[in-house]
Amino acid sequence: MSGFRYEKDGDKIVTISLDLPAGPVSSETISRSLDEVIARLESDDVAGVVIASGKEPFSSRASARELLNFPKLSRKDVYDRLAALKVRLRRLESLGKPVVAAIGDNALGAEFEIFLAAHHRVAVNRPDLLIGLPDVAAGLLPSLGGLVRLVYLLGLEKALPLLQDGVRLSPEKACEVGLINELVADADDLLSRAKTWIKANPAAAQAWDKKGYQIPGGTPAHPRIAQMIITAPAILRKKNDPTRPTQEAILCAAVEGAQVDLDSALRIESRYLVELLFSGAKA
Amino acid sequence: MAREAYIFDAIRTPRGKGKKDGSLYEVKPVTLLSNVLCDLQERNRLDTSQVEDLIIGCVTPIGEQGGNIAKTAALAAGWDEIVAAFQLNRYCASGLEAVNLAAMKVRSGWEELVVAGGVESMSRVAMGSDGSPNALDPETSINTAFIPQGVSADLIATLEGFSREDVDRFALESQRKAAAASEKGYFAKSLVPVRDRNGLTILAHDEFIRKDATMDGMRQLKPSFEAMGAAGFDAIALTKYPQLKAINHVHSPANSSGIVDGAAVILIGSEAKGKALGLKPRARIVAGAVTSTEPTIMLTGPTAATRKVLAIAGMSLDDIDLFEVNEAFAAVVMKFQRDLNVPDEKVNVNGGAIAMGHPLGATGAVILSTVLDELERRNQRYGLATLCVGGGMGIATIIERL
Repeated sequence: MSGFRYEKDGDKIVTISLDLPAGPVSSETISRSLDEVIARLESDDVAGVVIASGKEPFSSRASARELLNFPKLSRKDVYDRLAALKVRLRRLESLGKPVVAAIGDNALGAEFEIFLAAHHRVAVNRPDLLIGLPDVAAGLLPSLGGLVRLVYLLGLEKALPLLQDGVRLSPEKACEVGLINELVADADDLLSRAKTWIKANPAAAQAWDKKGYQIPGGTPAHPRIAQMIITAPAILRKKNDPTRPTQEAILCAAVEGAQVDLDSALRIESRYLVELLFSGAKA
Repeated sequence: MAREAYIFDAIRTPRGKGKKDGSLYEVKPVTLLSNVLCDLQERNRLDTSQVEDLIIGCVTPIGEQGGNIAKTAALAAGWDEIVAAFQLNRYCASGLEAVNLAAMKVRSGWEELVVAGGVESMSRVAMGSDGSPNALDPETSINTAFIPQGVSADLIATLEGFSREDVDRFALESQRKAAAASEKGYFAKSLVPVRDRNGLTILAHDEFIRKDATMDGMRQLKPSFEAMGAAGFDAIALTKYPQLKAINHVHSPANSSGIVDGAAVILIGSEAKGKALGLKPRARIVAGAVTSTEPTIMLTGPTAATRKVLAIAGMSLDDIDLFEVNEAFAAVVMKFQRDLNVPDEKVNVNGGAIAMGHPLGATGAVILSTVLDELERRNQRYGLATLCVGGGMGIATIIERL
């Protein structure tokens, strides 16, 4: 097993943590590791999964662009790799078993996107930890479904500012806005809290995979959301932040994603990301 | 000498299954249309400032297809600001009405270059979601003896004596012809792939075709309109057609047109404008006609419209080499052939909407491009496209390949 630690306890709860070997980190290594670990989870007799922070957050080992192997790959190759990664995370969140993220370290960018595929997120309440999707600073939008899941989780009104400003939040603040569901004071309690939730929620699934799920606040067709969408481009223009083109792409991908189903939204997210990646915007 | 209207080019997107699992579901209607406008521009090295009007058929012009989808898409495509544009709705005839209207504009001399076509994303903007007093206002519904189209199609089948076996056989033939034509590349000339913002292909072929369709498989499907008929619409139909004792519900999803997404556009102009822009006419629009027939049976318009357009053109049925009769329902085309004694070899030779789908507002332009491509492939001269239309209307257009 490369890439993920895999530890199963007596209650059949498996704890996986991304622990990539030394050397360059790329979307390919993450994708391959995810594929292996999810295949094992799918074939194993498992009561639930804890996905925990690794030894070292990979945001500190590779930039978002490096993760995507830019500029070595073609647009099509990047798109196809993203599609493969997204399929793996869909498999994880639709495993049919509860999946809980246990966040004990910084969780930024792609790492937090993986945690967003969990059904429940517990974090250590350390004020120095940072949580969020800051891709906008690199001229990108989230690559692993993070944009879409944030919109489906929080609704357009709450998700858009977080995405457009690339906000990094302390665990406490992240819990307030809904990125984190639960805080523990002591890192030693993290795993046990995660496992407690698994035992209490054996039938857990993503809210958006349940029948009749509605995005909080409504789709772009809802009159209040429509009103927000009408003025959003003008607000971005007036602000005229250096990251405006990226913020515009985030707005478009988020709104378009909220008009369709999750799988289509994930494709739309990739298409906007690939365009940004190759648009020559500054890293 | 009378001014003529010429077709310089005709292109269309492939038709995607009009459901969430259809390939074009992720594509916004404005993008579907603006992309095909860009393709038309590119293929013809078209100076868009020369286009005077853009006419786009769209049958459910609300929400993402609302406002004026034609002008919005022209702007989104980066077309010159001088291009005027509007959306029209003549139900299923919309795409062909756009063509006929463009031809009238050109022939009148008031305009020299017009783009006509249609768009419909049935996966994103559901058919009927725009509401209509014909069904939703009881007073109107009662006074006009409204019945759903499917019951009308079953009424035609009953009056004509078409059995379930007959309409299924027609449908199977549509599938076989469409699969063969698609495989042999007969649609390649007018088909432009739908691509994403990176140029990556989203869909390049008509994905609704079922190559593996069989009579046995189709026989399993329940009639789509039996319940509606039983609820009372049969009674309304029988009041108008007292010679019948009952309606035989033969239409199912397999022998009715498919719900799909798609767009099509046709570049139409005068001879002088074509010369000035270096555009070679592919066809002349000989004549166009609309009419209307008994509204409860609703779908018998193609016969009347065909007779009318032939009269306008001073032509006879024998002059027409190929017919495209929209396969809204199998019985519609079968009745058309029986009424006018048109042989199978001339009708929908590459399949139709039963196999490939009926993107409501776009279909008229789609089938006109199909008949033009086939006239060119066969070196034949005259083609006629016709559709049945809500409210009892019918539309028809004759083109001459050049």
